[in-house]
Amino acid sequence: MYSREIDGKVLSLEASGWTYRKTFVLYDRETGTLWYPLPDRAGLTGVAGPLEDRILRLLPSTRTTWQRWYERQPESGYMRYPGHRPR
Amino acid sequence: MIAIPSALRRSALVLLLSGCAPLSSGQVQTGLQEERIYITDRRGERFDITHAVRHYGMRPEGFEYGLGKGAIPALDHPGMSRPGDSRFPSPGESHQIIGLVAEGDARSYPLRYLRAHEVVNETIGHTQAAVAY
Repeated sequence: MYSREIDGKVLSLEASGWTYRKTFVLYDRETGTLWYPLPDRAGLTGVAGPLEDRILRLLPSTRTTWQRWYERQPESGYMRYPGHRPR
Repeated sequence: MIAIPSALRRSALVLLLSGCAPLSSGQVQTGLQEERIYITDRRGERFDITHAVRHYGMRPEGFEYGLGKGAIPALDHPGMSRPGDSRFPSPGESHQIIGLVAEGDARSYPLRYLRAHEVVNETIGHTQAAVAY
């Protein structure tokens, strides 16, 4: 998970449609900057575009099973998928 | 040594490159040292990757697929279901999620949803986050 805020500006990230070494290259809709997780740098680096050389820092997150997560975080929400209306 | 005008040199170089086998992702155009390096995706959109190549050492040929922006749409602020919602999973389910806690708010993002979209843009309190698979 990454912060998507730079200098107080909020970016909307999306896949650019490109991969580089099998990893998705992202871009932000606001400036068109390409963002990539370079191997020697935590977070996402702007590799080309108006925000090139800037970094979107890594935020703490956990990849685990729902079962294990829910045991530790019984108050956790579960992402709603678009099109799934609450009943 | 004949001095070739730079315009002729550029057009010669473009002719040379257009004769090469196309990459899986589109054509690479490059030129003289001061010129830009581009990749073009299958929708015809051109990306200037000069800085990525010259500063970060990324190889133009390493960029693959070029499906186009929007081919894999991000999700924005999808909302969270809570216990009691019909789609809230039972505690014993063992599918993979990405879990995070920000400002005391715990949220989970199933990988099966993320795989189709790659990025979820979220706001959790004051935290602006992109959950990326």
